[in-house]
Amino acid sequence: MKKVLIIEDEQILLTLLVRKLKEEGYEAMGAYDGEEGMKKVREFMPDLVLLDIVMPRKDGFTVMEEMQADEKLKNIPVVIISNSGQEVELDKARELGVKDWLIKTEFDPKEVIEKVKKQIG
Amino acid sequence: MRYSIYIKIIIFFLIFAVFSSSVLLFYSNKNRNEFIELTSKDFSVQDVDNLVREIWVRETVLVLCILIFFVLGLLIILSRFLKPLKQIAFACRQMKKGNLNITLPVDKKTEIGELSETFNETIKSLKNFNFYLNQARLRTEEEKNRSIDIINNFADGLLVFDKENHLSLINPQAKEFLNVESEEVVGKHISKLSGFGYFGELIQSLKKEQKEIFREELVLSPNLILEISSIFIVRARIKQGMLVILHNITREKKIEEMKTEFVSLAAHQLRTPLSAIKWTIKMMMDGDLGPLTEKQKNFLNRTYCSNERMINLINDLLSVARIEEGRYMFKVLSFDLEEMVVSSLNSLEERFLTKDIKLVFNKPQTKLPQTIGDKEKIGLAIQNLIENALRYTPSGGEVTVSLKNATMGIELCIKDTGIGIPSNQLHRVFSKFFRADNVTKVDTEGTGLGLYLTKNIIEAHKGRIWFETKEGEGSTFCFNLPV
Repeated sequence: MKKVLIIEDEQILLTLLVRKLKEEGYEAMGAYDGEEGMKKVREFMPDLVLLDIVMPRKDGFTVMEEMQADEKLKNIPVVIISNSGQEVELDKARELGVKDWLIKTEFDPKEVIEKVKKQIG
Repeated sequence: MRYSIYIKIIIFFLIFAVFSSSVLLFYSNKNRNEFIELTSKDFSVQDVDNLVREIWVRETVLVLCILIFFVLGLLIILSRFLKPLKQIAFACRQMKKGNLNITLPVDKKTEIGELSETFNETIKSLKNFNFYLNQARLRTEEEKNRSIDIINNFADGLLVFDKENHLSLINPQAKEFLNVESEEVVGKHISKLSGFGYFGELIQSLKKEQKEIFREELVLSPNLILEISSIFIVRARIKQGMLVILHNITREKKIEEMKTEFVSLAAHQLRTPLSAIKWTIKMMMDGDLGPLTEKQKNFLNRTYCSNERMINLINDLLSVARIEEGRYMFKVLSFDLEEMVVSSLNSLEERFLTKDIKLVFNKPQTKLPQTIGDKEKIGLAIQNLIENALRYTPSGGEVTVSLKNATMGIELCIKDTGIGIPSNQLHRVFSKFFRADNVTKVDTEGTGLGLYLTKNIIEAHKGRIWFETKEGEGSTFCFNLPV
């Protein structure tokens, strides 16, 4: 079973996504902020990370930087789910090797699942 | 009329000749008389001998006197002639040494006097010339000082390299930016400067090939971000050197960062609850949370639509905020406009089909040149215009999108057979939050920001936007972008 980690501080979105991913047959786990997220990435070793950008304690960019710096975590694909999407942010994310960027208000959970499928099947 | 020295000498000789010949005549007469007197009496050889001796002595003394008189006269004349010459020679030597404060005495009666006068005049005009030269030099110096003052007090850092790429000038601001002293860098070749302060970073930006650069960003430290421009100094079509301008943009960069952060935060704060609502409703509508009655579905659908409107409104407001920030938000790229129009049309194709509106695309006759601009923003402008046509054209209508090469650059026109705009509201079409009366009855989704944004985007790219419309028959919106 493919493992997906969702790092997202908005509880309702996190719950929805975990639920939806489980329905689709993934092993899904959630984290409420960047710091918890980093811990879970190391424990859980997911096949894909769905990552929010603006979060308490540690933001999404820092999480990506830390993952890039770690040989074991470097190759885990990351898909950003954010509410913002300015060019500068996208550029920064691309530099950090992000696979895809979704703006939450422009997608619904179904489309998020499609993106996950596209990345890891 | 001056007495010529020659006349003087001639007069002297004449006087002398007359005087000496008359003296000689007088004495030769006297001698003759004495001889006659002697020979008329009895005379001895001794007497003749005595007379001859007496005459000889007298004649000798006379000739000597005449000679002395001649020499003395000549000397007096010559001394009057030589003295001023010596003075002139002395004055010339002084002049050679640079002393121009000499005046020769002028005896107007002689040629020498004339010469002295000419000499004095020459000295005077030389003095005048010197004075003007000095004035000109002072003016030049003042001008130069002023230029140097401007350069030294300029807010931007300035560096000048000469033809052979030696650093010939660096102003205090540039020294401060680059953290160097002028003594250690001025006169050095560009290749030998890398070791001083931040010169290494600067030279890297200027590049080896030494071409002109315009507003290139150079981050020296988190608290010092410069914008570098280099310009060739060209005189008579020949490169004389290079001017490098360092402009401090640290503050602008900080503000830009703050704005990005603010927009990002605002977007996040406003969109987060909306996306939560959107996703929840969607899941309920999809039946993920249990089956729904038709009535419930209907209500949820309407809530979903309202929520979508709110999301659109916030997206547009964020776009307005970004557009109004001005030039810093523009990310300039070169791209194919035709490709962009085609992809916009493709993404809307389904909605055209659903609404049963015929979509016609008139491709450009010739290949379009690349467009240079903010790709994201121009995409938004095109999307807005096509969506408007789609939104305000009733089922069964037609929308024609034409793209062509025109004299004023690339021209895009979107013609619809929609409801048009009432003639009394034409002047407000591009205002913020404007929605025409006839539109609000047909459609409740629009935010009234689309055309305002589109106009701003097109004008920020130096383009022009215009429209033709007739209420009830349709509208055509066109814009051009200079190439």
